[in-house]
Parts: sequence; C-alpha cells; structure tokens
Amino acid sequence: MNYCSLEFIFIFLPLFLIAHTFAPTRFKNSVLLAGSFVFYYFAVSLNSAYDDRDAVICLLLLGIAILINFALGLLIENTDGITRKLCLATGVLLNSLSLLFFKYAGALSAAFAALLPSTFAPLSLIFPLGLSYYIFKCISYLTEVYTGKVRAERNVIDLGAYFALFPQITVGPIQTYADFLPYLRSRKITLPMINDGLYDFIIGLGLNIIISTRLGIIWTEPPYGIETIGYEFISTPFAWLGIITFAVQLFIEAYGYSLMAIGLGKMLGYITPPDFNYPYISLSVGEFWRRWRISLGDWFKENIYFPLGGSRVATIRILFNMLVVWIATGIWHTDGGNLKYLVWGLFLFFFAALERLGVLSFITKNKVLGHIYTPFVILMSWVIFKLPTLSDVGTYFLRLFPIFGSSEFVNSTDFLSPLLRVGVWLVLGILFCTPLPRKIFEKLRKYPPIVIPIMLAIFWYSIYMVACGANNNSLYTNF
Amino acid sequence: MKKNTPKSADSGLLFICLIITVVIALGLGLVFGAGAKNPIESLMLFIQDSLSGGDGEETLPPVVLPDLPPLPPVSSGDDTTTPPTPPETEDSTTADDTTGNDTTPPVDETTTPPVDETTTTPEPDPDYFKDALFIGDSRTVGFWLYSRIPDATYFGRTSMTVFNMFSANPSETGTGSMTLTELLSTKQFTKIYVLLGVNEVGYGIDYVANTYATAVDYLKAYQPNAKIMLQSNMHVTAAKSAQNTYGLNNKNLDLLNARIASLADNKTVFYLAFEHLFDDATGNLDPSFTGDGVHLYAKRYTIWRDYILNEGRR
Repeated sequence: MNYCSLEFIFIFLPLFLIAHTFAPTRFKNSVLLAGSFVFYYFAVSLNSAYDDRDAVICLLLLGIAILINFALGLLIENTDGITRKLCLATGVLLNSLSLLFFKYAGALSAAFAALLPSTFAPLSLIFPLGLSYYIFKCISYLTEVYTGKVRAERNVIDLGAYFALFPQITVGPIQTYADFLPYLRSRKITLPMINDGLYDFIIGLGLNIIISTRLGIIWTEPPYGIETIGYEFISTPFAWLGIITFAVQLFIEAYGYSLMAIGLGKMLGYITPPDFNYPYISLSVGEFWRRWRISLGDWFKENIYFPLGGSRVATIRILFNMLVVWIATGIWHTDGGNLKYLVWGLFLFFFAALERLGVLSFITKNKVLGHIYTPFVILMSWVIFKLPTLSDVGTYFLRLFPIFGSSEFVNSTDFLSPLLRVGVWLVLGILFCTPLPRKIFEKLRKYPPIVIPIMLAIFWYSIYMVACGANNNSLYTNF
Repeated sequence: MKKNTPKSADSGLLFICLIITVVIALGLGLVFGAGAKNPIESLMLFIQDSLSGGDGEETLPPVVLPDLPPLPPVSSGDDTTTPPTPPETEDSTTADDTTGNDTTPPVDETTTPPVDETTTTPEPDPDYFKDALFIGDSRTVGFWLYSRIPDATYFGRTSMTVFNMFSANPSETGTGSMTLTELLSTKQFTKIYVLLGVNEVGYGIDYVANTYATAVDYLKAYQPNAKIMLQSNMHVTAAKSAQNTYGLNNKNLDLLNARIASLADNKTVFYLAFEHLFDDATGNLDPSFTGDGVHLYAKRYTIWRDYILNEGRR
C-alpha cells in the first residue's frame, strides 16, 4: 500500500479520516498513531520488495526508535552539563549508526564474505521503509530538546504520532518537531480544510500517476527502454532524452508526493511545509538545493552545517563544513551500500564550492548563463544518481559525449519511438517544473464549475491508470 | 511555490462531488465488474477491457479468438503446388475441427515431401528473406529494432501472446495499421518465423501449447505455401526465473519449448532450437546479455540474426 494505491485511497484513507475527524480531541493523537502503525505495516507488507515478516520487523524497529528517542528526550531535558551532552551524543550516534548499519552492513558483509568466504557469510538485510525519514526526525527532535527550542515530549503516544506520522513516513518531508508541535496539541478539522487538502492530494496523485509513471517507460519498457537496450548501445540523442526525462520524472514524482503529503496534512488538520520550490528554475547549484527537498536541506543546515560553525568561519572552514554536508547528503541517499552516491555528493560539492568561492559568479549572476549552467550540472549529477554503478556512469557519459569514446550504437533512431510515446507527457512534465501551472490553477480555482470537473477527471483518470497497473514503487522511497 | 492553505472558493464542493462520484463508481463496479478485488477496480478493468476491445493482457483470454474468418478446409494434398489463396470465408466448417486436432502435429502422408532441406543449410541466398514474415512479442520487436534482416516483413508487438496475436491490434514493426489477419490475407509469404510463449507461459503449459497448435493451424490455413519456423523461447536469467513472475521461469519455458518442438513435422513446420546460444554455464539466460533478465541487449540480437541467417533456413 502506498499513497497512490486503491487500498489507501478507497479503504484506509476514508476509514481513517472518519475515525480521526470524529475522535474526541484527547484521543486524536492515539488514533493518528494507531492509523500510522496500520498504514506503515501495510505499506511494507504490500510492497513487492518486502514480505509480511519484514513488515513486523519494520514496525518493531519503528516502535523501538520511538521508545528510545522518547526516553533520550526526557534524559536530555532532565540532565545538564557533560551528562546532557553525553545523552545527546548517545542519541545522535545510536540513530546515525542504525541508519548507517542498514545502508552499508549488507554491502560490507558481502565484501568481507567475498574476501574470506570461510569466516563471513553475507548478511541478508532489508532496508526498513522510511527509515531515512523517521531517523532524521528523531535526531532533529533530540537536538531541538538539547538546544531548548522545545521541551521534551511527556506523552509517548504524542511523540510516536509525530515520528510515525503516516503522510510523511515513507516519502517525507522531514517536518521538525518544533514545527509540528502546535498540531500535536490541537488539530482543528473543517470541511473546507479537507476540501482544500483534496485539491493538493489529487494534483499530486495526477502528477505521479499520469505523468511520472509514463515518463518511466523511457528507461524500463522493453524492448525500447534504455535499460533493455543496454547503456553502451544507445544513441547519443537517446542518452540525452533519457537523462532529461529522468530529471523531469524525479522532480514530478517527488513534487507529487510532497503535494499529497500537504493535502493529507490538511485533511488531518495540520500544515505541512512545502518541500519543493521549482528547483529547475534556479541560477546556481546552491540555489537548486535550497529549492529541492527543502526539509532535507534545512535538516542538514540545522543539524550539521550550523553546529560546525556554518558560514561564520574562515573560508577554508566553510568549505570543509560544506564538504561534510555533501558527504552526508550522499550517504543519506545511499541505497544498498552503493558508493556512487558519495561520488554524486562530491560532484555537487565541487560546483557548490566553486559558487561559494565566487569563481562562477559571472555565470550564476547572469540569467541566461545561469539557466544553462545549472540544469546542465544538475543533469550530469543525475547521471551519477540514476545509473546503477560507477562503471555504468562512465559508459553513459561516453554516450552523452561520444567525442570522448568510440561510437557503437545499434540503432541511430532508437530514441524516436520512445520520444513519440512520451513526448507530450515530457512537455507537460517540463511545464510543471515551472510555476506556470500553479498560477493558472490559482486563477481557475475561483471558478468551481470549471475546476471541479478538471479535478474529478484527474482523480478518476489516475484511478483508472492505477487499476490498470500504473502504480509502481517510488523513485524516492528506497533511501 | 504554493503557500499553504489558500482559501477554498468552493468550501466543500469538491469533497461532495468526489463522494458522489465514488458512490456512483462503487455502484457501477458492483453491476459491471467481476473478478477484481473490489468494485472500483472491477469497474476500471471493465472500462479498460471495453476500450481495448477485450484484449487485456493480464486476464486469461478465450481460446477461440473472435473476429477470425473461418479457416479453409485442411487440405488433403498438394499443398506445395497450390497457388496462394486467401482464406475462404464462406466455409464455416473447420475452425472448431482444427482446434480439435491441435494436440497432434498434422501428418499428411499424401503431401509430396519437400526436398530434404532439414539436414543441410542452403547456400546463402540474398532473396531468401524477401518473402519471410517474423511474428512475435517484444523480443521480435527488439529483433526488428536492433538487428533486423533487411527485406523481411515483421509483425512484432509488445505483450503479444498466442491468445492475442490475431487481435485487432496492429504491430509495432512497420506494418502500419494492419492486423495480423489482414497482413496474412493480403500478402503471401513462403516462410513464417514465430517466437511466442514468454508472456503466456504461466497460463498453463497444456493450455498455451494447445492454443499454440491452433495458431499454427491458422497460419497454415492463411498461408498454405509457407514453411512455418517455430523458434524456441530464449530462457530468462536465473534471478528472473527465481522471481517466477506470472509463472515465468525456465522450467516452464523448457516444458513449453518441448511442446512447441512436438508441433514440427519437418515438412512444413520446423522447430528452431537456439535458446542455448544465449545461456550461461548454468543453462539460464546469461546476465551479461540482458538488462531486465528477459530481453536481450540491443547488441546481442545479432546472435539471433546470425543464427537465422546461417542455420534458420529450411
């Protein structure tokens, strides 16, 4: 079960909304926690990458994380001096190590097993769904308690409801505890707010199902897709079409999920901060990452960059702080112990550092050059992000820039058929990378007889596509 | 980016309209739908079925295919000398008769045996494939895309099965909007290469093999002068085989291949076994040949083409 599945939309969500809306105020957080546990269990067990046993393990891990961080929060608040620091350090370490363990232990044990087959057996580990998101919530909660920004939560159910919050647990955003606290205390649910949430939810659903899933076929659909042709055998135009499509798809999907989380939040009576702010219109790599997954960027800023001294230190130290953040960003995105995400983080750091030093300001301050430079660098970074191994990344770059290597494509027009299939959706997707559709929508919203039929059409067409098998797993949930 | 909670102009109208449409959809789903997990899904699958003319890929299609002109009578002799004739639409006696025979390969004692070509490969002939037709699923589409033999005709379509090959859908391989039935009715071929089975192998070997046999009979009826070359289904990788998606595994593929091979009479119907060319040492599709465990990398189609060019002629 994910946010686009029929089980979620037609069974879980209506039942949950009824229970949550009509529950007395003092039981609302209990209903939210129970609902989030139910959602999380089925989100794992109905995901083809997991089985029922995995779902129980994932749920247990979530429960343990809630209990440990609840206790640590109270400990931090009730101690001072070195003990307080130790409590925070223990909490941050425990949370970080659990994340690192699940990201790297499988790959590390496989490497050891390959070296010393008689001593080591490779660990077969699942990566708990949503771990990257809720562990980051846990860490930011502990630091907020430590800095005195918030008081430690006295009620484990309330804290659990925040950590396990079902609209955010599998795809974010990482809303901070301080930000969510007012809604833990009281959530007022009104029909206009539910109605408002439906708008966001339906637009997000449409972006995901109608546009994003269609764009995915460029890579996967046999025998036309890039993955089935083989990276080394595609033509150069197809390589460009492939990476541009991926860049659009990744944004449309993540933006769609973010809108769905915002919509669900409204239906539950709380406000979710937007996670994307049209990143592709940025003039620099730094700006792009301030507009992409804003809650993640803010988390790194608050929990790593500022504690290291932020920008109020010597230039060389600033660069070091940035390097740490980009390495951490790479690790956070790591999937199955793959080291390419570190390279990806370092690649982005390189350009962000050059921008910071002012070397590129003649580009980033120029509207024309900036709009060429930023999408280009980001596209190149997505090549590293998308391709499974660094060796594939190298191969793909040779297809993008054939002047650096031999040209061995099999069919020089291999891009035509895929382009014809997704062209319209790609143009639409690119359009949604700009603020234009939102502006049109806000104007249309004043005319319910126009906008409501459009919304219903988007909703039912999405449902039709989901029923016909369009609902695949998110690109952005496996981290 | 949108700031949160702009005031709703309709204060609840979308919510109400949505509820109404959901109730209607539930009702329609209960009336029209069948077989799916819930009424909404039932309704959507019903709509999909209506839109695609009953050609759903995941559902079990009927054995007897709609919209087929009746088959001409099974000839009792001189197949090789009769000039090509289109199917005789006025004869309505044999469609069922033919399906009744489908498990036994047609053995036609009176037919003049063709020159024994089964043991020797003919000399290269540049015109050999001019009147050849390749029919198949996405693998044949890939063959056409990345390694096609010039001059031949291709009727390949992603997700094609022996159940839907004669459906109203056109090919993806340059035959325009024609259906397979139309193509077979308008042009005569002397060689027809068929590769089908990987999409439908999980439906049950007997069921697929019997339908396969019927399909071969249909081809023979449409194209009485053609030699029909049944190509073996290439394996999938060990990992893909272990996933066993919709019953797609190498054990089933081997069982199906054996049944397809039994349809060959080495006179008009031949079996080309070349799946081993793509196998690794363990007898599964070599992982270095494929990105998704099923389809060959573009470059690897040349192995298939070279086999057809050198050993695939009868």
